[in-house]
Amino acid sequence: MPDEEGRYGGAGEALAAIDADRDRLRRRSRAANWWFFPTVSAFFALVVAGPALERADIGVQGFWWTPAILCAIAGVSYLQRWQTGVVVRLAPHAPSILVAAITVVVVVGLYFAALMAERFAFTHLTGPFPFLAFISAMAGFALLDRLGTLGSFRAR
Amino acid sequence: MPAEPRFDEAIHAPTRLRVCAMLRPLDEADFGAIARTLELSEANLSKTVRNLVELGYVATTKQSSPQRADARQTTTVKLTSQGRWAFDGHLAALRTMAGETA
Repeated sequence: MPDEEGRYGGAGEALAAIDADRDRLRRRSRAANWWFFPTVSAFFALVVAGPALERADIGVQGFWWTPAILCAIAGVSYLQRWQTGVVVRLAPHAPSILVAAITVVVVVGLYFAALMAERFAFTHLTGPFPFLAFISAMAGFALLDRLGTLGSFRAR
Repeated sequence: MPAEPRFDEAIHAPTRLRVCAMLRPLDEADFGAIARTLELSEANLSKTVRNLVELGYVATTKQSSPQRADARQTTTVKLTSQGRWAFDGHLAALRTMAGETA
């Protein structure tokens, strides 16, 4: 505890106070961001469903997901700012960067899967591959979340 | 690259240290979010932020908030590059001291 002049008793005590504050900030942030995982899951479901919708002529033609990705990243950043009252410094583990990275992996994976299926006539791969790619991305995302990486307040 | 240890008397006061520590991993934070997270009174936080602004360690901006229907503005606080440099050095100094005394 600080002494009567407001000074900490030692460096260890000051460091402990900083850690306690950051733990509180992380907990508040995680509680406020309960919507994050379901929203991103729904977004990836749309990304995966996009090509199927196009084949069925009920989706938008072309790389429709490009504006969707940009909107999702901007939306995630805005919602987090609104929910928590803080803006996390842009870092490799920032949620918007993770969303972008995982989206790129899923989209590129789907693209190459389609190429491979066409080149080698592996038509049987076109069915399960998008689903497997989606599940893999979600598993990776859930793992990152479980590890606390998405708390994003571990910059010290 | 780890910061060079530099003990900074201006930051070591508890409330100033806690505010700087909270702001360090953030781009910016609302005044209210800082007060709630650190469980500080608005008067205490206001005085601390004013002192840190005078030192050049933090900067404040006022902007309208989507959470407010009236015309009042919210204050946003961010650590300046000078503040980050000072805090990193002070933190390194604290770690050195804690390591020596442990």
